[in-house]
Amino acid sequence: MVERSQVIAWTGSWTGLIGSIVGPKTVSSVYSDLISLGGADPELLARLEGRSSLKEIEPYLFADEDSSVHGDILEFHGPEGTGKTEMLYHLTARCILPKSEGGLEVEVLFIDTDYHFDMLRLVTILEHRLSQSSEEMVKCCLGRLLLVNCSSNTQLLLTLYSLETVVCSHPSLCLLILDSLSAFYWIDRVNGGESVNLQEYTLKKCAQFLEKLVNEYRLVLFATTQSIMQKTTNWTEGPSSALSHPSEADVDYRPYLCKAWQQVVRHRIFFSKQEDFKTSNQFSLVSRHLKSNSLKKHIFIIGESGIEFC
Amino acid sequence: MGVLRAGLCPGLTHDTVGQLRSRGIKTVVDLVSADLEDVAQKCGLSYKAGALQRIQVVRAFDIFQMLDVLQDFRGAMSQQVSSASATVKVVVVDSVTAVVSPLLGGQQREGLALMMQLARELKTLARDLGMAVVVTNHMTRDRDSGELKPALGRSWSFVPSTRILLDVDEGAGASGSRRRVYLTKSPRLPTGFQEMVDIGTWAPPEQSPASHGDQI
Repeated sequence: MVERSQVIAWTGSWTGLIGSIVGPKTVSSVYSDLISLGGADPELLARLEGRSSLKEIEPYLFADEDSSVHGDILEFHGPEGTGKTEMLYHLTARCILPKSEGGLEVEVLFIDTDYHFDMLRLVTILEHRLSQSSEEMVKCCLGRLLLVNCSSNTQLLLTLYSLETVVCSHPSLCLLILDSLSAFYWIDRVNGGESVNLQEYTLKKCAQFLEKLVNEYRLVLFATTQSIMQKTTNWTEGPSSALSHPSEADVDYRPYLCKAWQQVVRHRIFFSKQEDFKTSNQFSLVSRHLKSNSLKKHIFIIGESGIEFC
Repeated sequence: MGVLRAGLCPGLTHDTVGQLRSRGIKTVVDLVSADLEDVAQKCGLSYKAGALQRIQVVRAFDIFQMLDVLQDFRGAMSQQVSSASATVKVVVVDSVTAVVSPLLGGQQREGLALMMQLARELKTLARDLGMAVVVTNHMTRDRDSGELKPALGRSWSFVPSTRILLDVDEGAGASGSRRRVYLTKSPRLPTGFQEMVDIGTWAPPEQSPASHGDQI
């Protein structure tokens, strides 16, 4: 027990330590040196070294992403019925399926804040994607899924604080899913009284802690936020409006969550359903990288086996 | 409360209603609160009339009453030892619009918070206590596009996991009990599926050329 806590205390400075040992040695040989010195937990090091990047989790969407040392935070935003939760099932399935079936065989932590998670749907998706779908195989995949329910923002914050232990004891955990972050928005606003700071306090703490968790343990976080506000900009306004890029008109986005959350998000992905009669079973998403401001659009349909990109 | 009359449920014939009335059971509430076995023995009641006794009707006319009722119910259900008979499996709220729409509108965030609290209560019943929760909602017209959409706005639209739209069948035949049913939201099935039902008989309506509508 004592050894483990010593190792955990080191993890914050691993990136600094490795940076200073740069030279003729490669990162993996440094790790093996340390293991042989008996000073570090090999499982822990394997986790630090072998985290799945965004590119591996969904190559179609994130083909251009450089794998980040600091983890990634992505926000899924959109109105009801646009495929956000389906996308989460798709990404979860990609992670928990075994390598022999084209998955990554890594663990996923799914935090459900509004009793949204549908196990039957996930099992159906897994059964369709497995070449031999037996109960054993499905159970084995589900063994890599950790599911948590939260019924208030405070409970969410406390759950996040306790996650550090979970992340350390599950070396192959690399994906965090939060569905949804905006579930307590109205309740928080009323509980905080007149002070906006007080209203946003818990969510701000959640955002800050998520950023710390993601950075330190190089996780990927997908969080959904619901479009509960009316559109602010009118598409028919003239060129003097803020909309310079044509794709922005597709985007029904009005920021309403606290600034602390806006600042930690690296990608924002907007979901919408095609309104055209001919393409009525198609969904689209626009992925926006917030630093480079690049926009990319993808179209997909939802079948029995989950999301299929067009 | 509803007065007992013949045909209210299978097995409730004219004679049975008369017999019940002679024993002081005149309304649905009376029947529900009566000792079923005693009544059955004395009236030779068909077992099917006992179906009415399995329906518990509660009235709530504002959000606070509704929340009270749900919280009390949840407390009672959590303590109940599950037995083969008499566990509640379905909760029906008719209608959630009546209780929530007075809260909405204007800049009042308290109303939205109460609505979301109601949503949370209903979801807890569904998930933690394993019940089917069915609510009814109305349709309103969208301010900008003029199209019909479900009432209670965007925040509520995320709450139900399945949504079914009932519409009057345009080409309805002689009987006015035909309805078109559309699946507009589902966690497991593709949406857009539609079916026609006859709410009088609950049997599939007879096929006629007029009933083969367009596929969505």
